[in-house]
This record gives sequence, C-alpha cells and structure tokens, in this order.
Amino acid sequence: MTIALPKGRLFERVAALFARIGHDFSVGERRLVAEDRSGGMRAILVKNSDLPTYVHHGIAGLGVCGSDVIFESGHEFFELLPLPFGGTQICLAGLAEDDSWRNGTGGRLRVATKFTRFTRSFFHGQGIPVEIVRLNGSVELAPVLGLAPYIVDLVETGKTLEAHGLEVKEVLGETRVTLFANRSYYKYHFPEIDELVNRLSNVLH
Amino acid sequence: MPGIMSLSPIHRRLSLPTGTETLRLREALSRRQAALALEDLFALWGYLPVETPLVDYFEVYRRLLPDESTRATYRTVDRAGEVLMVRPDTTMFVAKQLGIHLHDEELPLRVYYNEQILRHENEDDLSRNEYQQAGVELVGVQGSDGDAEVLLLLAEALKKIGAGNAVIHVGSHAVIDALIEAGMPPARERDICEALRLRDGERCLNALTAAGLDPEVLVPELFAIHACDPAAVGLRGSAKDSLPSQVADALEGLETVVRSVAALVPDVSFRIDPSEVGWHDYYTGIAFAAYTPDSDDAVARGGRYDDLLGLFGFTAPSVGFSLFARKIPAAPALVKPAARAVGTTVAERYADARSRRQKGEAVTL
Repeated sequence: MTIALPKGRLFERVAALFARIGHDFSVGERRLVAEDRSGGMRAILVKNSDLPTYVHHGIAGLGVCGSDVIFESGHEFFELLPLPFGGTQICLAGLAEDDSWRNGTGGRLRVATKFTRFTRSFFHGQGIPVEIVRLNGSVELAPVLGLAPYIVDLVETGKTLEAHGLEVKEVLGETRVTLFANRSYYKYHFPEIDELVNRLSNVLH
Repeated sequence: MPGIMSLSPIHRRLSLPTGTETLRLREALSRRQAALALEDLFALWGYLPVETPLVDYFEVYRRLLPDESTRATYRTVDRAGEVLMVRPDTTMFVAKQLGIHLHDEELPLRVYYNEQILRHENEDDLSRNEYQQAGVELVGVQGSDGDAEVLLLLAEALKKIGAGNAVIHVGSHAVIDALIEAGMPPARERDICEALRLRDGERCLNALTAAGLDPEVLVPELFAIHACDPAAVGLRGSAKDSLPSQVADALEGLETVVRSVAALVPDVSFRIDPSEVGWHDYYTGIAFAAYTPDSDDAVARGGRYDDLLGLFGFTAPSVGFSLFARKIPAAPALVKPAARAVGTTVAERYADARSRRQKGEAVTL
C-alpha cells in the first residue's frame, strides 16, 4: 500500500499518527520514499500541491493533505478520514481600512490568491462576480502593493496578515487535513484500506 | 490562457490535440491484438458489429450528458449552422442508431463496437486516457437474464485481454428507486447518487435526513461492499429487518443476481457494492465497474438503461458495458521479425515469399 504524504511540518504529525498504529515511516535526510519497517506500507513524500496528482494517477493509492489542496486539484477522490490536526480557515482578507467589500465593490471583486478554483466557486456560488489574480505565494503583498485589494488565503493565527496591515474580512470556509484515496485503488483494495481507517479511527477517538 | 492562445508552429508539430494519441509498432500491434481478441469473443457470444457515426448533432445528446462530460466534448459547426459533436462515448451513439432503426421482430439484438472516442483533456492531466471504447449492447432482454449475460461476458472479456485479476463491483439503480418508493423526494435522486459515487458519507447522511429517511440504518448498508465468496451468506443479517422493505428487497435482488453470476465464474471476483449507481442519469437497473490493481480508474463500466433507446424512438430494455482497454497494461506483442524472401529479382522473391506466406510465415520482398 503506497501513501503520498506532504513534505514539511505536516509530515511529522502524520508520521506520528501512523507510528501509533505500527507504521513507522522513518526517512533519512533528503529521502523522498520511506518504507514502513513492518513492510506493509510505503510512503512517498511530495510537495503538498502535487500530492493529489500522484494519487489521481494511482502512483500512490492513498494520500494525506488539506481539503483545500484536494479541491484546488479539481480531481475527485474518496475522502476516508478527517485528521484532527492541521485544519484551518480560508478567508477573504484586505487592508484594515478598506471596507468596500461590505458595501459592495460596484463591479467585480478583484482577489489575489493561489486558491483560484475555490475562490471562483465560492463567490460565483454567492452570485458575486470575481476577478482573480493568481499568485503562488506571499499573497499578502498584493493589497499592500496595489495588485488586488483583497486576497483569499489560509489564515491560522492572523499574525502574517496583521504584519502587513491586513485583516480578515470574512471567513469563507474551514479546511481539514484528510486521508483520501484514489477511487479505483480504494475499490480494489477496500478491505485493507477499511482496516487501516478503522485502526486510525480507534487511536483518534 | 493556453485555451485561447494560438500555438506556435513547433508546438503544433510536436504535440497532438488533447484527448488524442498515436500508437506505433509493437504498442499498436499489441493493442490491435487485444481489440481483435475482444471482437472474436463478442462474435462467439453471438454479438454483431455496429459502427456509429464519427459526429452527430450535439442537441440530441445534450440532456444525457453531465456538465463535466459536456465540457469535455469536441464540437464544431456544420455549414448549415448545426452544432456537431465528435463521438465522446459510443453507448449514446449506438442507442440513437438502434432507437431509430430497430423493430420488435429483431429483438433480442446483440451488438458490439470497438471505436475511437474523443474527449478533451487538460494538457497537463492525461490520466483518463480513454481513446478507444470497446463494448456490447444487449437489447430486448429484460431483468436478471440480460444482466447475467452481460456480466458474464465482461468477466470473460477482462480475462481475454489480460485483466483476469480485475474485480467487478455491481450496484443497482433499483436501490435508488427503492429509496424514492420509501419516501425520498425524486428531486433528491441526483444528490444521493453523487454522494454514493463519491462515497461521501456525510453528504449521504444529510441527503437521507433531509429526505426523511433514517440514515443510521441506510448509510452503512449503502456503503457496505461485500465480496461474493461462497462463505459469506446472509450479508445483511439483522440490519435487513431495520431497512425500509423496498430498499431491503432491492438489495436482495441485487445480491441474487450477483451471486448467481459469481457462482458461474468462480475465478472472477464479483462484489456487491450499492455505491455503484452508474455515471449517467439514464441508468435504470444494475450498474457496474471493473477495477484492476494498477489502473488509476475503472477499466470497464456498464449497466442497464431500459429507457435510453426510448429517448430516440424505440422502447426496448438494454444492458451493456464499455471497456477501456487502454487502461489495461498491454501484454507485450509476440512479434516474430519478418524474414526476407530469397531471390535476385522481384519475381523470384515474390514467388518465394508467396509460397512461404501460404505456410503462415511473414516474409518481406
């Protein structure tokens, strides 16, 4: 069973969780593939935003990443188990002194974000036309430098926003870290996967 | 914006429009061998070939296509201003032709096809990989006999092309109909089907609750997958008594069909899976999909659609499947290099080659 896990902070927490059910993904420095010591699982470590692609193509049957990343990928998976860490809020933010959002923008809402699919889907769902500027990082700069008055981004503590004179205008949704599966892989291997999900559920609850 | 930017000459020369492919030499040969093997098998089962038009009027199929499928179609406009659609799926094109031309006295009718289809794919996501569709339609055989025939044929077809390790998950739209009979508003049908397809328990629970049905009893039953091994009997056991009777009957009917088929081909894995409800709204009975351990998507899909032909003018029950052989790793083609004919002149070499070819040897001039 191959599982795609995100590199970075989230990996440590996911690895700790799997260790509790006997799957130890010890990775050496710079290693991107980890064999579980029990031999039952193999983990591949990939960039968060690439993770759904590996699962979608069946390179890994399972994956763990944020629901925001899954949604942005545009692919459909079976979401098997939400994990109790790494969840956060996805928010519309702008300059603290800018309140035009609440009063209507008189036209399209111009938003800088890397969450383009979510942003379009959310605002169109509300009947609000939106103009999206795609950025891949440091989106807080967009309102400061005048690229776009608003951003849509994940907000954990709000300190980064505050440091740039921005504030949350509206919480648009909650994201959660999820164990998910390629649909075909799940259908073929469902007994083993259900058993894994049950074991994870048992240590989580 | 790659969608509206014109391509550079080098890009046009080095790439193909998305959704298309080219196969060469051994790969093409192995695919051709798989196609011929399937056609031979379908013919042995008494199925006749059918060929459908490459393009047809888009409006005819529009109501049958989910939004995602509509976006994936290639369309063009003819000189009269009619929007034409390049064949994105053979089942619908076959249904129209049969719906127009069939007569009662021709039933039951068994046809097979093996045709190219064209669907747009994102340039950076070629995962669907569905360029060729082979399949069958059995028209005019109602109920479990027709269902069993098509499931058995699928099992043999998978073995024939090297996918004998596939598992076949079978559900039934009758379960959805039973939910409606049990009180679910028909308007919730699409929502429930989508929740089942995605195995989204939370969404299913919400939809059933909103429909006034008991999700605590229904969700575990609708999401349970049961292998059809002979030891597993009485799958639903005590839970069956808590289910609405219509739903219990529908699940029992599904189980009966799948078990009867599985008993006939014990070397093929069948699973009862109520979350298989078909990928089109036109399914009316069984819906199934086949999965292999290495494929990123189902390698075959099918089901019963008793009302589909009626949309085109001739009402007759119909059941069938489509098989995406490109998703199954091809067995390496057994190619023996052709020998060279002996002789100093073309006439001599031709005579030599002709005599050796009559014995089955491949010979070049």
